[in-house]
Amino acid sequence: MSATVPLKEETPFRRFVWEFSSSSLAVAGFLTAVVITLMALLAPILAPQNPYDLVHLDIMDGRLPPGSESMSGMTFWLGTDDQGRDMLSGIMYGLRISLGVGVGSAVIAGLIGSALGLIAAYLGGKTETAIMRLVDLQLSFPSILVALMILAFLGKGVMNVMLALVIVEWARYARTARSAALVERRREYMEAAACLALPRWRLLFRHLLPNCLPPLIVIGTIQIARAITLEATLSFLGLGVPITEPSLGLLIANGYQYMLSGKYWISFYPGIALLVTIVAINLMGDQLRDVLNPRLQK
Amino acid sequence: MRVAKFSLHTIRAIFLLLILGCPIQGFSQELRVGVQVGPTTLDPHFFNYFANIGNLGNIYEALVTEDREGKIQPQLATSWETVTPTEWLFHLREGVKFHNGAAFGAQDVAFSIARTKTVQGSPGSFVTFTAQIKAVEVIGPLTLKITTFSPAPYFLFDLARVFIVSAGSSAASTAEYNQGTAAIGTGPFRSASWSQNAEWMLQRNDAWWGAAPPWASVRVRIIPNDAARVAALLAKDVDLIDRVPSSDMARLEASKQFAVSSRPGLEVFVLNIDTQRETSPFARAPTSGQTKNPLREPAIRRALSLAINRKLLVDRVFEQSAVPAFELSDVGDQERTGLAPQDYDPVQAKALLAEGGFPDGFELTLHGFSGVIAGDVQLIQGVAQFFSRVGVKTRVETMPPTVLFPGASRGEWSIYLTGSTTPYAIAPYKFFVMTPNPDKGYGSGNRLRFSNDRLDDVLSKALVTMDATERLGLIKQAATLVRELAPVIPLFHPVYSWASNREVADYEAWALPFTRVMYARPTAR
Repeated sequence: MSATVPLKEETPFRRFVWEFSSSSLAVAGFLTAVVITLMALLAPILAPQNPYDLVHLDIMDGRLPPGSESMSGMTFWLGTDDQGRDMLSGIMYGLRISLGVGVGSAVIAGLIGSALGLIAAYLGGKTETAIMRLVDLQLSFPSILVALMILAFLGKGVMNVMLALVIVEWARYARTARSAALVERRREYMEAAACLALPRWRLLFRHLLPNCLPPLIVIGTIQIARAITLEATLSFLGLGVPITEPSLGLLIANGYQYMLSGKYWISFYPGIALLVTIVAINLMGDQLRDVLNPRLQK
Repeated sequence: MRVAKFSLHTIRAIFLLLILGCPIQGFSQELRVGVQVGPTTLDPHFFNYFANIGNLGNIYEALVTEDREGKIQPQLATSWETVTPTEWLFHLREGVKFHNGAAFGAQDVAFSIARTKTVQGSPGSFVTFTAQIKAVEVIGPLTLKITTFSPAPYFLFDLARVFIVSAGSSAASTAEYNQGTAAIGTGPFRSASWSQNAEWMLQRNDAWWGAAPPWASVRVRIIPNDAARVAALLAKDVDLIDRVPSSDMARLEASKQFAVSSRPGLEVFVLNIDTQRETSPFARAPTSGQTKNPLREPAIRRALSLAINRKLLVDRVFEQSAVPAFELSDVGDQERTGLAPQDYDPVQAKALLAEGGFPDGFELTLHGFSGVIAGDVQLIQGVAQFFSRVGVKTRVETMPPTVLFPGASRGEWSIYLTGSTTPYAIAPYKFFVMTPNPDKGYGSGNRLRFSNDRLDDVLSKALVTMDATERLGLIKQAATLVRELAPVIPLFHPVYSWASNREVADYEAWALPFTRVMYARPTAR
């Protein structure tokens, strides 16, 4: 049974949208991701407090349970952490860092990794061996270990975390891009393009790359979720962002010591935010994989 | 089939033994202790570190010792007199025996003092405590004369740190101590087995000179994680823990099953400031185009001190596990200067910022440690809040102490959190604000090299003044100068807490971070 209903004008994009929305879970994931992204982007407008400005924090408001009122009359809907930081605002700003670092590093790693993968597949020979052995080497180490080493060397900071994540992640894109390109480069259209004596870069990036994109997009979504988790892990371990500008991982770490003392909200809500973000992205990724992989289609 | 039957019997027998064994174990007089930091060595003269002094005090003894309140009490010496201000005569305790049966005498003291200077590869030497000793003279088997280079009013506090080992063990190396073969003291317990960072077994020394310790054996487990230590107590895996985290204090106190005991510790935590350099890496005013180090101005440093609401900070961050510090030593039964506490005054702080040439404030990064005491990371952020409120835009970086302190010594920070024990009132002054002089042991904690001649004069004089009233006058002068110049900003004194399972033992808190197991009282059944 085909789920596809013929449309009057079937463009590839329409078909993609139709197939993607065939799973209600994926749509829910997509909508959640949109809401989370909006919350992160609009945090400076939406958030009741700027949690990164120490002038706005009052240690007197520390560790208040959800729904409490501050000294100045503001309500902390999700409670406060030990510095008197409004958890809701903290989560919104934390999402900004988490998503920014996640998407940013995934995109940069994607660009570098795909380019190197394509070049390896297209040129072959020693270049391919060199690049792919580097990829093998990189992938043989657990990414958290590599990231920890890089950060221990570079020091803390958002830019350093991004750099560490890019270094850790590019190899996966390279491997995927190469395997896709190896198949595509033997296709007739590539031969035809080569017969036209087009310049190499054009063959690579105008003909080969667009046809290798579907698996890369799938890898990309999964890698964004991975990058967010990694950033949270690094921050939880105290190696990521500065302590006065917490991301989700650091917010969780800050509340961790209070978990057993009944002040659950400091870790709990950022944890939920992180969980929801990652699940939403993964749901989207799963559906994208099904839609973009013709072999999985019924 | 026979095999199966046999094993069934065996299992039954084991069960029976276990059931019968349980109450027996309850009366076996074993105390199980969970401590945050264990000894790093069993050599009492290898590494001068609070955890070594605290733990090793269970198996070794010194001429004198500090009691629960930090006051000097006789231990291996029963009495002493100062013949002249530089000559001390000690009368030693009779009938004391080392764990191996050797008799204790004056030559053992002479040997131990000499040994502090010969230990190889020490990461923190005990020479600090013995450097002022000019000569040790054995007068009789139990009489000893020690001559110091200059009058030393705090000499006994130093001697309390020099544990006595047997002169017969003269050839023993640190490795032999660590294996346990040479770890022989005169203390109430002997070391039975030690595996670093895991477990230390102590056995009662039945030949001890004092009243027999109430525990036949003590199992000291090293549990660095605060939550895990509390969990071990709650699960009754241990009977006594040290360093109870403030977040769990209320819950343990409320419970009928556990007893908590606390006492303000003879320790002070301060912010150490870069007062010397023209430009400082983390203190700048880029908006007003100034690159010079704002912290060179005493007015600015005083402003920072006035900007902090210590009472509130300590109350919110530590709940009951710290007390505010307005001076370097204003805790316990020490010599008190009687200066009125200089309290929180943001208006005055802003005025002083303007007076120092930075009316619009400046940018500052505070460097702090993490994982040293529960709440250290929260505290430094709280300080940053108060600085931000008076217009000093403050950021915070935290790191492990093993990164923070070497970095401070290299001058990588502008202002950082540090701490020191304060066995006597003048100790933190000597440690933090005197011009560094390794030979005399001055300024070992003055990593950013503050130096002021007047303060040095007053303090070096106080350190050799035997007359208590005169000395107190000098300490008062020093305290006033420190307040004026503010090279360090005192923040708080931690409160040391112990928690125990009421069914097994009670432990009254010490003003020093020492868990001395013989003072854990078994609960009467």
